[in-house]
Amino acid sequence: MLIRLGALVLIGALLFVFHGIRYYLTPWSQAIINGIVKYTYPHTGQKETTVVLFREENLQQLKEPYPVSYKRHAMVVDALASFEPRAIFMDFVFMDKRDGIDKLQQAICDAQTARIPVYVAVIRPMEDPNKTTAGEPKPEKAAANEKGSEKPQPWLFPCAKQVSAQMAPIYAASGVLTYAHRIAYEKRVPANPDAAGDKSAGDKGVRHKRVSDKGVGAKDTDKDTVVEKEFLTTPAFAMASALGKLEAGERQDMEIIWGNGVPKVNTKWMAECARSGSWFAHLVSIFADNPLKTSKLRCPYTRTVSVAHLLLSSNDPELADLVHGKAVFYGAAFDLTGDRVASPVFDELPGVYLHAMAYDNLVTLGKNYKRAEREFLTPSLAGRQISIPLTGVVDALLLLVTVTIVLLVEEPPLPVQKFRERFTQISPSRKRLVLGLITALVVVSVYFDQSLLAALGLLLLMVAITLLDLVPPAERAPESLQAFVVRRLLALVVPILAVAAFVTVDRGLGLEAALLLIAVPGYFLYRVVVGRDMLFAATAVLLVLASVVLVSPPVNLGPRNVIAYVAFFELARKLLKHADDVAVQYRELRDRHPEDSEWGWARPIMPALDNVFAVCRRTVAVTESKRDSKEEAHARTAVPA
Amino acid sequence: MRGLPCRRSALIVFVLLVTAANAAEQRPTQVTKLRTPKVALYNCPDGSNKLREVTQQEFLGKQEFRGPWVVDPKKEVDGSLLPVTIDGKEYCVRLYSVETDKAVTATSECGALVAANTPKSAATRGVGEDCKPNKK
Repeated sequence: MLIRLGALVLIGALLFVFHGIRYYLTPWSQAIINGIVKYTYPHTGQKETTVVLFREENLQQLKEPYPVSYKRHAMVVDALASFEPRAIFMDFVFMDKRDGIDKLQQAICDAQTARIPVYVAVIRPMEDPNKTTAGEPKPEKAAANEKGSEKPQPWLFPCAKQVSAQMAPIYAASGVLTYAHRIAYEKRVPANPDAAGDKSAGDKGVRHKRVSDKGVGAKDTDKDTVVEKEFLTTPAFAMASALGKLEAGERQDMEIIWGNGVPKVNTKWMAECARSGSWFAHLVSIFADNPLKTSKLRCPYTRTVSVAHLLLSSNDPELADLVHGKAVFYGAAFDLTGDRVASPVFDELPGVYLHAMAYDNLVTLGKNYKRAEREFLTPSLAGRQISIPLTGVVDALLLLVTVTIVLLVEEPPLPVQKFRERFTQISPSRKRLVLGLITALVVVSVYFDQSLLAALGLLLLMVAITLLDLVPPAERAPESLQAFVVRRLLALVVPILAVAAFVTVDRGLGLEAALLLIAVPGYFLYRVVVGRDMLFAATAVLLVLASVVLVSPPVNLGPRNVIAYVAFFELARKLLKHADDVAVQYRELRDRHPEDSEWGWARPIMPALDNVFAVCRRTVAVTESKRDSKEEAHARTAVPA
Repeated sequence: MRGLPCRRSALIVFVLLVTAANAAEQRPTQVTKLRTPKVALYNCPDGSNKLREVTQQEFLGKQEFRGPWVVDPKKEVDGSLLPVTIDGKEYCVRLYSVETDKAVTATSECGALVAANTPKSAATRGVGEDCKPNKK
């Protein structure tokens, strides 16, 4: 039993870690999750977030060359500030010294004076060119200032706040799911801690953490400096924290939930808000290609206004409604500039929408936003604290639960068999009632944020699945000729009807809805009604509920890939059956050729092979009471290994 | 029969409304409010020089630069500017910085494609001559 458990867990881990089951099933899993999110994600954040987009076409309309002048950016900030937004994020990195930086600085400082915080993207923490790393004025600059021969070099951050524009690595097959809460940078500072002032850091919103006294990677010649880690907050987290949407202790990397409802304002001026193309081409592309690619929307979720609209209109009440009191994300969509992100719900979007969506999540879900990763600290044997990633633990637990159910139910060990005998007389309807009640308990617990009770319910469900004999029957009562014909006809007609229903729902409500309303329930019903496979149904329900519990507070982890676990569950059952078949075949051959010498060159390994195939064989003895049961008769080998 | 006087009065109201609307259309557009504490006045048509700043007090007062300012619709100016006549002199103001009695829109965007798989290209966007910093 333990050997099988270990082998199945190892196979599962290999499939999940390396490309394979996970890679191919993640898009489908995400499509279903997106479908659910479509109907459950509230629009609270959508009403408080606006993207102001500098489009390629706006360059012509404003007679502005690329790259956009700092003066024009200053004009945009000025225009936005006149509508009194709650905060402005500029998704532009101002790395170069160009004319007009003083105007931009002035516009940002004017906005700050009007109590509108302005956040500007940086690729790494920027230093004031007039100051040293310790925050003191540079001697040559100070001397020039005193003489009045040189003006201080303008830079944007006396008034603007620096935020990191760096993205978290993309792991998902379908696009960006993870949004970092802060990005770490290494910085060389003077060894004297007093000199490396936090004063300047505080001004920039940068947090410092000393790595070591000697410094990471420090050269011998750099004895006077040490390497310090600096952290820059990402725009969405910085803005949400500043606007009181999030407390400092609640910042962790986020698993973004991409909203799915297109706002009315976007449909007014954007193209392709409804899907185009024939149903057949769409159906083909769903199966031939990534399902998410074909279902992706082309109208962004966040309310959007173009820079041309902002600068070239007056007295537009809609504009005031979009900007006044909102968090504004000002970004660009220029050709050949690369700043685009792929998401599971939308086609490639300008990068600014990533920050806007992350902020939307923080506003909508508050402290219950979904974490990409959670870590918990535990003391090691050496007495030090070690950090364990919760996501890894959860994935491993789900895998272990899947394997355990397969092994305990399909091939229960003797103690479990004896215990199960007491439940064999229970009618199928009562079994379903018990499972339904436990499921209801979990759902209600999740609804009322009682995660402990929900976890207890999951445990109960697992025990119920193990004890209530749910394995599908292998033998069926002989059917009449008419029944045979009807069943075969149904096998032909039902798939055609299912495809027609799928196409209809996909055409009307979208692919996610088609998957949710037709494909998933259809397969589920097929397994329960036609296959009478209650074990599959119960396990699928258990995994879905476990995923829901993990997504809900207080765990708040990102959605797990449930389809991959269900698929692995099926695979594990097939593997066990195949192993058993091979073992039976081996046993027959062994009985015919009991002498090791008959096996030729394999003679030395025969004892080992005996042991291996003994492990592969099923270990079930069918009890008398089980045989009496009218409900199910199982395809189990009568001979114990 | 009882409905006839009502119909007649409705007709009179309609005619009056149409006349009033026509009169309003014929009246020149005016700047009625400043949206920012100070509004800059630029030279026309390109707005390259800031000539003066007008405060709310000045606009609402009875001295120079008092409002409302009349918009000159015939003058061709840069898209983001609005030509106004103040005390007989011509200036330009930023469109977003003022409020007019009629909505003014210098552009219309329709059918914009924001989220789309743009063709991948192995090239970098060149920067034209216009992008060199202007030397004063």
